[in-house]
Amino acid sequence: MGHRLDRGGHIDRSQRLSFRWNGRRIDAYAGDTIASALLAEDVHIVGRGMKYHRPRGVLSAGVEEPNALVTLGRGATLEPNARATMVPVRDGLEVRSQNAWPSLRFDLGRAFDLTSPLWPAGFYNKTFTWPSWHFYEPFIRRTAGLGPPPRLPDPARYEAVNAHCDLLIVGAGPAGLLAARTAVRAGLRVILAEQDYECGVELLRPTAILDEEPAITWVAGVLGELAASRNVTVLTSTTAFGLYDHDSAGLLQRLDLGGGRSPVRQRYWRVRARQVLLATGAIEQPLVFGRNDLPGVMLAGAVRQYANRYAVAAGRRVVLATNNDSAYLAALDLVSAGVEVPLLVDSRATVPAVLGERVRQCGIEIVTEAAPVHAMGRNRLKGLGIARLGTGSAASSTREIECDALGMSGGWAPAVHLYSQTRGPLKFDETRRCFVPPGDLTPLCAGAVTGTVTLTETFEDAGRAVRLALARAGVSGHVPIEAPKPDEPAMSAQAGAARAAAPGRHREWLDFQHDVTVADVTLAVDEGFDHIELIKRFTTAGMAVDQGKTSNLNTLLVASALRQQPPARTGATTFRPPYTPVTLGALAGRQVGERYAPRRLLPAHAEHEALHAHWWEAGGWMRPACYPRKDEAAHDAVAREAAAVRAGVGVFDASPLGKIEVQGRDAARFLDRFYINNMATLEPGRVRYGLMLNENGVIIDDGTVARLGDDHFVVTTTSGGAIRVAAWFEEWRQCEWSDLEVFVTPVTTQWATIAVAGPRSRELLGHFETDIALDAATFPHMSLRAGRFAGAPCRLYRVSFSGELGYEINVPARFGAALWRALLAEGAELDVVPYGVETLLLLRLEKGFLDVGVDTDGSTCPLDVGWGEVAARKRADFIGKRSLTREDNQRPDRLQLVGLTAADAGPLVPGAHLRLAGTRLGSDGWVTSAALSPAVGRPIALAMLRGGRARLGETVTLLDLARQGTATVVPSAFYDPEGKRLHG
Amino acid sequence: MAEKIAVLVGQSALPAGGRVLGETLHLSVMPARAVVLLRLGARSQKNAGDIRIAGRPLPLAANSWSGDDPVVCRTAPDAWMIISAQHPAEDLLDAAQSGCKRRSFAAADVSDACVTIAIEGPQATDVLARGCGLDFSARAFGQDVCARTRLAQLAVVLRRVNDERFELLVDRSSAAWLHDWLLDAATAVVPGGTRA
Repeated sequence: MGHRLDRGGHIDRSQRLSFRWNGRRIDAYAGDTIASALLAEDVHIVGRGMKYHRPRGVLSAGVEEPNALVTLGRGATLEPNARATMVPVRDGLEVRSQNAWPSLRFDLGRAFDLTSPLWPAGFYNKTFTWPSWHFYEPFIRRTAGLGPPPRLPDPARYEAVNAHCDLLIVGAGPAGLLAARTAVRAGLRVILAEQDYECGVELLRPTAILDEEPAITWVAGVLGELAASRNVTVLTSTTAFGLYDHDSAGLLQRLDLGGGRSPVRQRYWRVRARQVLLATGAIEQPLVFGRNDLPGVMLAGAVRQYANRYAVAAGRRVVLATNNDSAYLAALDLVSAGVEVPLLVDSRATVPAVLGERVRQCGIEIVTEAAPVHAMGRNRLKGLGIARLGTGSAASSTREIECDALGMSGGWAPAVHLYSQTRGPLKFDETRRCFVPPGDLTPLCAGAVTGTVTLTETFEDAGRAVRLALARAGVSGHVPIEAPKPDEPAMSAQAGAARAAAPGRHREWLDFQHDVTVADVTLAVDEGFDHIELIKRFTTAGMAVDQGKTSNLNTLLVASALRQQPPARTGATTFRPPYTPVTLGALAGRQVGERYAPRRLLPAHAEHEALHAHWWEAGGWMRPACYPRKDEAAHDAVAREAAAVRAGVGVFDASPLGKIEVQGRDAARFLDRFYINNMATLEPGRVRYGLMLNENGVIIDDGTVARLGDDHFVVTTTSGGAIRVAAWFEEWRQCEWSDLEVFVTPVTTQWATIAVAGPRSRELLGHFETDIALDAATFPHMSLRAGRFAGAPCRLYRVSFSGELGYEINVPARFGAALWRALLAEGAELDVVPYGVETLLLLRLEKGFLDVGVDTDGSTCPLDVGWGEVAARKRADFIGKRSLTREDNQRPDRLQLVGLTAADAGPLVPGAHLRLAGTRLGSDGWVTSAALSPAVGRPIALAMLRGGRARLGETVTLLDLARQGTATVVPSAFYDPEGKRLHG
Repeated sequence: MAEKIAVLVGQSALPAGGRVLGETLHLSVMPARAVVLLRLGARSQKNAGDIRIAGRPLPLAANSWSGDDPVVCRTAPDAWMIISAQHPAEDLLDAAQSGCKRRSFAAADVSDACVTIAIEGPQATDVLARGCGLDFSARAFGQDVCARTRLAQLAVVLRRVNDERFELLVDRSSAAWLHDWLLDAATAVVPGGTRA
């Protein structure tokens, strides 16, 4: 049984901590992880299998842990699926197990295990097809789920940081530390990221000796040197979860795991490195045998690490089983720590000479050419059945031994995940029985990730890699590596079989997190899946949140053996980001709530606020929708404002209206190519409305073009299209028509724009001192004058989007608030009203004016909105012209813009579908804009209707969810169709 | 009718003034400045080195700036931004006109579209790094460097005035949002939080 050792460990025994595990108090020391503390208290069941709910214990001591997934905290700070092996103990922490009901020790879900023959790999693909998968999905998710997500808003602060460096080193073990120190000494800017909460990894064990001193002394020296340098950033508790093109990487720093009180819980580092060096180490693999998922069966390296680093013995009597040399080191360390190790089982024929001798001297029996075949015990390991491997790896005899912990080592799989994410090629190493990077490609790899076994090899390899990195960085001259000299026995990289080919009656587990067995892979192979990517998807092996860190290699080797083909041919799976799960909050960073997206404020924002504007966010702008008076509903305010504009005068803040200056000798030719109507013929001082198309003939924006001078135009666009149209202009100017001398300058926010509309608008403007003549004869509709207005520079438009006499006063933005205040003050005697965007949209709807993007979509061409004749009249070429001649664009049954009226509003709402008389199914169009018009006195709408313009006077059926009604097709201009009022 | 309104009073998007966020970080909204955007035609760019604005040649290196007042920033291959705290935009337009005569060019006053925010202190780059992907090391972003870039999702022109001071030109409509964003980003940078 697991217990705390009396001495040793890298823990602080003077600092006692405690946390609660499923309500039970667990004592620990500073430096413990949740997993080490649970093992020390002999908590052997820490989770339940996802599919069969079998009891599971701690398997590993690191990031690869598939079993010990726990829920931390409660309420808003709840964190599910934390790996207990990676979470340092914090005093008072609440930790709970997952996926078990009613309790971890007695889980009714175990019934799935008893009926396991009914649930083989891919069962849901074959059986849950009727009535549909979604019928079963909720139940499956409840029984097979991981930890529940938090239900409350996360109060923690997350942030994203951009960082640059010459060399990003992932992993601060022996290779990473040596490479970092060397690179920093050479003057490179280095970021060193370590997923553990302290650097050193393998070197933290007390038995590691470097330069005749404990290795930890060397680690401290290197870290001290790095801390003194301004060229390096050392990040602990930081996982490089993604490596992308051009050596950019995503790192997740867990500040909540440290002892400090950072205001930030997690930090997402977006690193752009000139080079990346992966010193990510290797992950020990399990042996494959019957019931190898029983609590007490652990990885040998983990058993060793718990003893060395946390002073925790995994059991009283620990057996080791291996196919490589590394378990011999574990045996020596365990004996040194006072743990009984009666037996070491090695699947190879040859025992390593020096290591074998040392192990035997410790009184440990070594059995060669043998492997475990089944674990004994119900909910925890009680003993082990061992088979001697005969010729062809067939089991020839069996022996049983009593033990309460097994340290198994099925070889080491280099942690090539990040390397693989960049699509780095891998080759299968027959000696080590694993995939390794083939050479010095990009990114560079060093240490165990390349397959090194001893510290000596690791330091040599790190020296080689960092020399290469320095050369690629252009560092000239000799940079000494100064690798320490380890005191360690010689070791071989030779790995033997990880599985005795005698399956017996017990299930052999490959993927502990997704409950995949050898039988599942056998079924996949029997069903004809031949490539590992297919086998993976059929069995789900390697598809859990651990991404198969302890299962991919064994799955591959088993599948290859079954298919009797070399592993290289079966292939390796492709790893994808993230290497370990990433909190969504970290990816969002501070881009949440108020900071989700920038908010643009009008120059007179404070004035609108003072008028209690009802705000509407449109295109990033905070815009007044309307200005409800006390106790007035918004729709009543809109009706009141619209009526006031029709009868008197209203003012509207139109500052977001896109404004682009187009200057240069060829400005007229340039603009003429963008608009469906002629712009080159525009006279100075005049304004023309136009439609802009893309190459497909689809309407993408509309607005006015005003000519200030021969070579100077001002274009207005929709508010949402201001940036897009300027970019569209630039693209054509720079890429297609570079021969034209023309300049494009967006000036939207340079000018505040206040629209004054209504029959008394000229009267209101007359209250201001200006050098611009306002009378209708001198300043007709669709004109522009530059001058001064109330002492400010001004561009005064006479245009109208309301259908009334209207002006748009443009003054430099700093005068916007003052102009707004002055218009309201001077207009008081005219009963002026401020009106908002919703009111404006009602006014334009009454006039039948187009709202691009609302009344049109990504397929609407000018012919559909009644601009066919204008397009046909223009002789000069323009963008989209050719597409208008396509037969499809000229079909008479296309969706065409029409007006609709109805006796009552009912289903006459935007989005309601239309059905022509005589049709019973489908849709013949839809309503694009609708309102109850105060001016017209009844509900009105604009709609796109199949062959609409030929259907004036017809009745169509309206369908809106469960509501149904009828409407009459009418011309789109409902109010003052002759346009007499705006010419007033 | 009463006497006609003759004068409108201008108002900046954000009130000018500085805030001390900690021992090592200051944030200031600068008084309004005149800003003129100068664009040169393709042929004029070839001999842009001959063009002088207020007596100084245009900076030619990509993403560089020069001058005290006016400051001229090269923000694109064919674009320069002329910024002055002392001269009105009309003077800058005149300077551009006289400097570029007989060349293909366009100049536009964008003073009212811009707000200048300065961030200063040893940790200024730490704040900027929370919203901008540029490398602010002295080697990559020295004291003569400016860049048109994105900060906190916004288009800004960023200029390194000296080792620890950066000036940001941001669109007027987004200035308040960016100012708030900078204050927020600084809370994770300044030890013990900001004093803001």
